[in-house]
Amino acid sequence: MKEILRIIFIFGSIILLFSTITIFKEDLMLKQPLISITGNIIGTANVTIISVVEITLVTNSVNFGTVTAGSSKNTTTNNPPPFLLRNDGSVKVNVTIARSSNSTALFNGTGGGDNTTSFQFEAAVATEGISADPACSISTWTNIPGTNPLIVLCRFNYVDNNDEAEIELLIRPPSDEPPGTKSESLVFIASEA
Amino acid sequence: MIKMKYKIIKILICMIFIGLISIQVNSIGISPSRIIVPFEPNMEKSFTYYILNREDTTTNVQIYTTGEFSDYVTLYETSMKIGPGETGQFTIDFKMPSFITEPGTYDTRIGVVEIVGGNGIGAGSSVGAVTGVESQLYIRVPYPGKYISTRLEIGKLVVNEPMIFKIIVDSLGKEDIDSLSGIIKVYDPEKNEITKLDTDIKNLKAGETTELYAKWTPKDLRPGVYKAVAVVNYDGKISETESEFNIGDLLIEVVNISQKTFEQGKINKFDIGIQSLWNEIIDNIYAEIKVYDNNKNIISEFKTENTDVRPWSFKDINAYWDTTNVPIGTYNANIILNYRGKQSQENFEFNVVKSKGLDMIYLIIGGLALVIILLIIFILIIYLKYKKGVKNE
Repeated sequence: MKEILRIIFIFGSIILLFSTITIFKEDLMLKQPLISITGNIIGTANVTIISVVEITLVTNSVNFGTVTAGSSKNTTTNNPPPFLLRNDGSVKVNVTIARSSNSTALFNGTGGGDNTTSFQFEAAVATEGISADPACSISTWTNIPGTNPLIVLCRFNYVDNNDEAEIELLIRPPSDEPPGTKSESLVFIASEA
Repeated sequence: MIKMKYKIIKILICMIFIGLISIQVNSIGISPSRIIVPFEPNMEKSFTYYILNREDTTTNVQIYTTGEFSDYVTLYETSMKIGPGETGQFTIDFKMPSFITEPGTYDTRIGVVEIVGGNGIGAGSSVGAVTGVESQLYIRVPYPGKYISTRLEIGKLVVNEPMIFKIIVDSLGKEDIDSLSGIIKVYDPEKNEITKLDTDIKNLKAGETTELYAKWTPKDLRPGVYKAVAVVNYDGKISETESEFNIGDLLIEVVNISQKTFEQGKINKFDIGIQSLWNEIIDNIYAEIKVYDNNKNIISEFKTENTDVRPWSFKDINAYWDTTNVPIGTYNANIILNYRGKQSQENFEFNVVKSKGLDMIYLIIGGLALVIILLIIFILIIYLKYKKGVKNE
């Protein structure tokens, strides 16, 4: 009987110790660098939370594999999957799309290059549902604009479980596109809406 | 053999590399997201920004400035390396111009973008992407007297809960506003005004921002795109802004079908056009098609494959009707859409007609038979002529 009580006591102490450590850890985690808390000993406190613009590209590459010149392929059937963007900040944002200035256009055959139907995008709804304002987001196939950015997602929401959106891509390699590996880098820029 | 092994290893390394990049996530943040400063001629000020890297890898970023007063910004650093989970910090100096003639808000941006090397990744046709963020540095030149700018934000619709209408009001004039209030008019898809809501009443100091609220619980509204117009009254002056919102219903409608006439004796492919009137993706949708004769007996019954539909979007579902053994005639078809335990249905008239394909086969057979008969007649004539010639000899 004494042995059983001893074991229960030891287990209880371990659980108590672990829970204390967890509470202490959570307390530490609350003290993030962008939240400053000032107050006095009586118990009133002022909390200043500085707004953050933060986006995450959950899927950061789209590989179409081998595509025949003159044909077309897009990401709407998830093969390959589209770009997936998430708003991890604390404000609604507008997100622009453009070709990276370090990159060249995807295709350079007749009808290829920047701002042509050879390479298009559209904003689409992720599994979480509508997260951006459809009235000012681009949800129809639109030419990738070269290095001059276009707003693709407007008033993109930041609230968890409703903060993701897809950017679908469509490629149409020109029929006289020389064979070989084709690639382009895009840049998504977010700013407060 | 060694070459072969080397090739395989090369391919494997490439695959692992592509895989690693594919699963990599790009993320970047900047704080604060916006700084608003009232214009003061030649004023000099420093601002500190924080760059957030919440990823498990080190990020190299480029820091830049753009916008209307970017020439007045001094950047001391143009690139930075930020370790995994770390926050970088940099300071800029800003000196305001000596004068600005036009009142308004002037937008200058302090941006941070991940540094990317070369084009996208992967073999074949591939597209890579990086992320960037910009913090807005707004310089406000006040308008004379009282002046506001307004924005209307409409909250998410939750069944049986009030919708929240929020008007964000920026006081951009030199004078304070003593009384600020708003009216929100809601219009249905036919542009009829269906309700008018009053917001709270506030006052607002020059250069400051406030929010006005109104609540509304919509009842028995049919799905569609609605419009809200916010009219803000500030000390006798008016400012208007508007925004649209969707009233949804967990409903998918059959909008149309691609054909109503089908050929007899073959598998006919056709499309059923559907539209979602819901705010979320609906998956596992399929259609059941029942075809009835004039005596209301089912003569055919088939289903489509499962599919999904995006919020407020149209989609075509492929259907296949096998009309083998279906007599020529007119039939009533009932298309039933099944989704999330609900059903919606639509009736159409189907016509089964003689197969054009069969006619063509008959035409070919007939033509061939005619050619053969003509050939036989021709051979017979030649044979008879030949026989006559032999007899004459």
